[in-house]
Amino acid sequence: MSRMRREEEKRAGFCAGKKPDPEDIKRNLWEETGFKEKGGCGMEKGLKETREREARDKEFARVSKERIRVFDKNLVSMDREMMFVYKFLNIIMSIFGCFMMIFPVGPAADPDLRVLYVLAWMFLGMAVWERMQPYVNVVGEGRVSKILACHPVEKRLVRQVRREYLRRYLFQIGAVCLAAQQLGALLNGAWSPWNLIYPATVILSLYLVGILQIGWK
Amino acid sequence: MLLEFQNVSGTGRGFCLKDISFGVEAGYLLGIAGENGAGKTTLLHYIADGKKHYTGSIRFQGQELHTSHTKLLSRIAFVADEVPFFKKYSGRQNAKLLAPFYAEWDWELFEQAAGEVSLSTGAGLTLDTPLKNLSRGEYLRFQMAFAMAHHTKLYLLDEVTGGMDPVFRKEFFRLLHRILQQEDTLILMTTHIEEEIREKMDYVGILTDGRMESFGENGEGAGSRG
Repeated sequence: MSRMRREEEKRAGFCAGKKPDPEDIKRNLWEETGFKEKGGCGMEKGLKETREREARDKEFARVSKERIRVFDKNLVSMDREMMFVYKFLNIIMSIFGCFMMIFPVGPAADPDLRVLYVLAWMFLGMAVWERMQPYVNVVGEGRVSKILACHPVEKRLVRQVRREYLRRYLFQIGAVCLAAQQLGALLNGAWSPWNLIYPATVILSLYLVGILQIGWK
Repeated sequence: MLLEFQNVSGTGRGFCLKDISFGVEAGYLLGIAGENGAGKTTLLHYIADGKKHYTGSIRFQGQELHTSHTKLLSRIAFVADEVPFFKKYSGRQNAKLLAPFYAEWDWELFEQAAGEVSLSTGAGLTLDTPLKNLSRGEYLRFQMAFAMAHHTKLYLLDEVTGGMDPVFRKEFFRLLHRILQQEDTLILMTTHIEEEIREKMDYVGILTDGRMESFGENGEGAGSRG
């Protein structure tokens, strides 16, 4: 034990060998060195300021995300024709993709139908693309993020909100694909863990497709 | 000081900005002049962009611009040809889309400002005309109206008067001076036009080869108002 530490304990009134309560040491030092009168240790004040700043930043981020969602809602409502086309294509691709997920992988798989696994991924990929496109790109204008760069909104938060939409969509589609795959395997009478791994892998890869579309910088 | 540059240096395409330092308070029209490629637009981009492509410090309203850029951007307006809006939509639609990002957005002020910059009453052109159908001058006027609507404190105007007809240019400067009188703002404008530098600006900074060769109060006229 260092000499300074021993003296601290002595001042704190502890017997040698007994483990001192750090709060007691702090309290004694606090009073003895006059920190209390001086308004406290700089580190504590700094920590308090950091916490307050973090709370303010968190609140600002929450408000900003709300504003982004309002912007998205207005953006989608501006060009109804184009949004109808996106939505229509998204629904059609999702239906085809989910339907093809009925064809099971693993022991239950039909070797002649393996091409359908690729087609399922393709259709679902296109569905994801059509789902996110209204928020990412405006026809004739280019990327929405390029326009928003000149306004008081953080790119990081815009991407976070887009990813929330992507995750919500993939969760819905993923549930349907998972159910379809289990149904297909059970109907063929040969379930295996691949019937879980396959839809999970497809959804994960579609998440990466979506991230690519939204952008990461 | 509303805006303060402290030893700002950076590199651009084929030039360097070196040790730019100046400070200006609100209520003035500051002109930045220089030949092509001197770094005038780059100076404005350093303020308007979120990324710090420079060394040194830029302070706006006493705060370091880089660390609070998004929050401070709600009080800064960059007016230039290259500023993107949704051109297939009208001015009003653009305002509807982008107003939520500005805490101090004022719809009444937007309509009023559009009138002041002759967007409401211009021949056949209103806030309901798609921006792609507006001429260069009209597009810049829309940007001014948009900027006024969110109580901008710092206007960055990048060679906006080039190509303006003399009548509108006169009106434009009257508008700028009205803004300076009514609100606590600073207008930073880059320009090539000697007459403007001589007669309209309160402060003038001359950029040469990336250096602020001179900066100070404009001797002649000192921004004659009215």
